[in-house]
Amino acid sequence: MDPGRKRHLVALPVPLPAEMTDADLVLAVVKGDKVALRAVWDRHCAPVRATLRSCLGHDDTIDDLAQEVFLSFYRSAGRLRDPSALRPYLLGTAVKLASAEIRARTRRNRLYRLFHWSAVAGRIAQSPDVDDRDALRSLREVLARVPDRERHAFLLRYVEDLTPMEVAQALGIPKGTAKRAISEGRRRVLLRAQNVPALVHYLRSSQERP
Amino acid sequence: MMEKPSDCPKEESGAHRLAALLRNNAPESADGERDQVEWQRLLRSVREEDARDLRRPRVVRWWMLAPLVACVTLAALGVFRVLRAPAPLRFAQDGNAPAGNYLVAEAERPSHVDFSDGSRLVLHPSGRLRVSNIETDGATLLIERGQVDVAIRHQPSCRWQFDFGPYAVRVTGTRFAATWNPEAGDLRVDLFEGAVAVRGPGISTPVTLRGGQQFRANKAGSYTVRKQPPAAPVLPVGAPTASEAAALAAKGRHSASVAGLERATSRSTRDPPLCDWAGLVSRGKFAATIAQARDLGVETALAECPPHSLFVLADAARYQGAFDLSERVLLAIRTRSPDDMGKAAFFLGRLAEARGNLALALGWYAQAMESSLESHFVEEAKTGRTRVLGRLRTRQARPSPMVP
Repeated sequence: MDPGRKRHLVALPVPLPAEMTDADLVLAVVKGDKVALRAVWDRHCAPVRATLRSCLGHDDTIDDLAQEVFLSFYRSAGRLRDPSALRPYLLGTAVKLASAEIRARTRRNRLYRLFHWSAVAGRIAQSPDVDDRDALRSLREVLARVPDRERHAFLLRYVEDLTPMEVAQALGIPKGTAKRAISEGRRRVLLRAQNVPALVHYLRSSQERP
Repeated sequence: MMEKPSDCPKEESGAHRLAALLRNNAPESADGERDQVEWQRLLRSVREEDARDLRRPRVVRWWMLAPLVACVTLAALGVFRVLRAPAPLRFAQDGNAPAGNYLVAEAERPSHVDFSDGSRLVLHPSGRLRVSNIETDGATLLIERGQVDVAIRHQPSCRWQFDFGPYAVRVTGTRFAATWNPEAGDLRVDLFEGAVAVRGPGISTPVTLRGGQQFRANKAGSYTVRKQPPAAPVLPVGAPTASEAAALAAKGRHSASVAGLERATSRSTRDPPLCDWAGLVSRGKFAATIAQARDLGVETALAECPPHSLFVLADAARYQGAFDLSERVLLAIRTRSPDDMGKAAFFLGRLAEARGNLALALGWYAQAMESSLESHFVEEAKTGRTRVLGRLRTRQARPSPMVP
């Protein structure tokens, strides 16, 4: 190589982990890069916690479950089909772990069925509106009666605002199946919500409300 | 990504309002210190994972073993089939395992050959045979010379064949004796029980022999089927005593007679009763057949009996040496049944050849080749024509002592 040209070579700046795309971060984590893992944590910890709170309410186990979500990601980063779909993957994992937690609590508290919901749902935030607190508790009861796949699809689509394609990636199912699960979840939730007085108010649009 | 709006906007908006209720449930305030603590906790867990080498646990995908399982199953099935497959028949000569497939009887005494399925044969002194093929349900034996007494155990799928020079005797379960003289080209088969089919030169369709019949053929391609003389003792299947052989021979003749009678009875429902001679001919009663035809009136028979009965009558006349009657019947068939003209011409050619009229035989064979609708008669006629031409060239045109 011409030594004269060598002096003109300029080293490209290495992007900071915070500037890397999700796909690059995943590839770095696969190689064992803890800095990349920290970047993933910083970028997605808040959405993961929000998803867990949506499912469980304000609960003491939220931090533990968030740890489990990221630990699970660290274990299986090399097996992600689409590294760019990191957010759907993490949120899907969070929803599944929350469901597993609810099931475990249900089993544990079977003898205390009277106190079942409070044990499962955790604390309800101290909303200034009593009606809102009733509605939230009732909505969690409704969701608890929807099958897992449909409930997960409903939460990811409407609470986390994922597209059907991202829902499919999050749940590891085909897109068509995800669309059907979203539709069925919505139908079941609305059907049950119509019979709950605390939720009927939320089903009406602002024009329909008295 | 543009997503299609929901089919029901009202449902969609209701779902969004419920979701907002969950989403707005007291948003978490940012807590940098707690976040740092949680990150340190995760980092410790990750390092423990690395230390235990559990980062990439080995995942056994059982479905990937499916092809292997399928291959092992197929191999096991193959081995099972091989192990369960029936072994070919075994045989012993005079109680000993033979050195090879070529069996020779000494000049002074016969040789006994026993097969593992219970079939037996006796090779008379100086006889020679070769077991050319042996399978699980039968064998093919080539008799080079001499006389054999055979008793084949009948089984539904057994396949036995005895080759005598150019002749082949196919057997499904029977007892018979056969003598083959390769120099003279003479074959004689005495059937005691069951049925065999004989094929060979000069035999257009396999000749089926019944119990009590005798088949003789010579080098000239002529053959006869007649009632055999009083039965000689022949060994029964799996029980070689002479008394049992005689008893079974008698039983065989009786059952064959009954079978022939039953066939005659069943045919009588289709044909005019007086024209049904197939049963008689199958039992070797050629003279009785001709006598019945004469009782009926030859002219009447030729005018009214169906062609297949007339062929039977022609055969009986040939076997009995009544060549004129046979010729008359065949000519009548040609007149009455255009479909059978070729077949009748072929038999007329055989008749003329047997009587030494080679020029006439050539003519009939030519007609058979032209008009026969059945391919095997065409082939037989070609063979006969070649044979007659050969005899004409060598000036050996003499009438055969045998009936064709």
